[in-house]
Amino acid sequence: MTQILTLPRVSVPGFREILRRAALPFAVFGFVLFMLLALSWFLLLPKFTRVELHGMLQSSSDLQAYVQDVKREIAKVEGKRDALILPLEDSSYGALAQAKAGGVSPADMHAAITGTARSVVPEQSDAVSLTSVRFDGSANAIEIQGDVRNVGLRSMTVLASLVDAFGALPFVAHAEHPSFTREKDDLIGYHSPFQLRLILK
Amino acid sequence: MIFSSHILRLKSSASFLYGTGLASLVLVGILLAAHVREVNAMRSETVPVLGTVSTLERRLAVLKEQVEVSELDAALRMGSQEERIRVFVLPTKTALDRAMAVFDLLRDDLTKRGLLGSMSAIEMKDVQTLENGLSATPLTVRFAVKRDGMQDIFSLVKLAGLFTVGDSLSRAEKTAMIRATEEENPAGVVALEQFFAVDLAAYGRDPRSYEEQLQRSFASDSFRAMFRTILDQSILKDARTLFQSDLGSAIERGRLWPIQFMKLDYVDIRSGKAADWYLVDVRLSLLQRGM
Repeated sequence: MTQILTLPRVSVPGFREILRRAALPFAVFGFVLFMLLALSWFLLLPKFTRVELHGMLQSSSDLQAYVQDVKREIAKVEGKRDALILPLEDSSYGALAQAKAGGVSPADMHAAITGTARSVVPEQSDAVSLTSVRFDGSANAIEIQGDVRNVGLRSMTVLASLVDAFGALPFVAHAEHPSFTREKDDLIGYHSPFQLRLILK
Repeated sequence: MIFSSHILRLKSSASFLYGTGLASLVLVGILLAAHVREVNAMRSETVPVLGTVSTLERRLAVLKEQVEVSELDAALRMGSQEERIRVFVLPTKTALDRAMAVFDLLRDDLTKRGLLGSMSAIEMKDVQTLENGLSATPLTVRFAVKRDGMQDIFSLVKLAGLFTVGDSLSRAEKTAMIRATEEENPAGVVALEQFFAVDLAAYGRDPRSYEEQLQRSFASDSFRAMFRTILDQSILKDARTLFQSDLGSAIERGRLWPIQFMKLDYVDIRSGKAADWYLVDVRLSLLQRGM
């Protein structure tokens, strides 16, 4: 007699059932992870991110506030000390004295300007002739009148080099460009008269 | 009926669990970001700031100590300085006799040394009101001088109105010296305070004794190098030259020091007919307080 064996029927769970079964582990996983991070935030992290200052643990923001307070106090005490050492520094007399102490003497500036004019064409020290050098204290500027000569057709090029050289002087903030012109004179040949203005620092 | 309500309960329970899980994960994300922020702040802000705290606290303690030692010395000399500035440097009325005497001495000295060809009449205008409660008496004069003479004229004008060593140094120079005291010898601030208060004429006559007095409090090479640079580059150099010259001695003998404050308004320098000679037009203001 032949027996027919039949395998028991295995029921395959549907997608909905899988979702239903996964819901609890998913919720537990999320909640536990959240709790662990919350514990870390309140208990673990402060141990690593707070620093001890004068026997007390300080957070980053507390520390920065403390440093700002110390800096403010330093500025206050420093101001008081400077006022004691230099009592007239903040008076109108102090301001006038400072203006003198920080300035360059017109004689030194004149020496630097004439020296620059002499050396702008190294092989020819008389290439630039300065007619006048005027220092205007109220405008904080120097006006220079002169003439580039004895360099033939190069006079305008030499003038441009002269403006650059004046602009590079340590007390000059800015050299305003003059009018570039070349004229011919029967006596001195080609020359470039100029009038330029230097703004001082 | 019972079957369908069971299904509904199961469904709502799963939704609740998924909702809880998702909410937890969102909070986890926020907390993770906060952790990262906190650790970054620790590394980039807290650690460097912590390194500066002790330096700042030490500087504050030094400054407080300097204020304490400076207070007594400052109280003693403040009054006399202000008084002399009020009487001589910025008087309420220009002392014309004193100003003219200074120009007379300058002319005599330059002529004697062969540096002055001619000096024009000194033209003065009416008093003009300036800001800050000051007024000015404009003055113009022309010199025909050699370059060295021109240097002496501007040097005298620059020194006119400065009274102490401290007045003759720029703010940057003074700040550099004061900061050096903090690093080297905080109590030495008194010696520096006294150096700044020295009369410019007294310093110019005998610079070495005042310089050595200060250097006794600051022995380091770095301070000495900085001090030497400041002495050589500031107006103190002009003061030494003036008060060790006949002109400086004559100014002191004539009791013309301190000189009334002179402010250079305008200078025109033109080449003279001979080499190294210049025609110098000068317009300056004699400053005074009030009108």
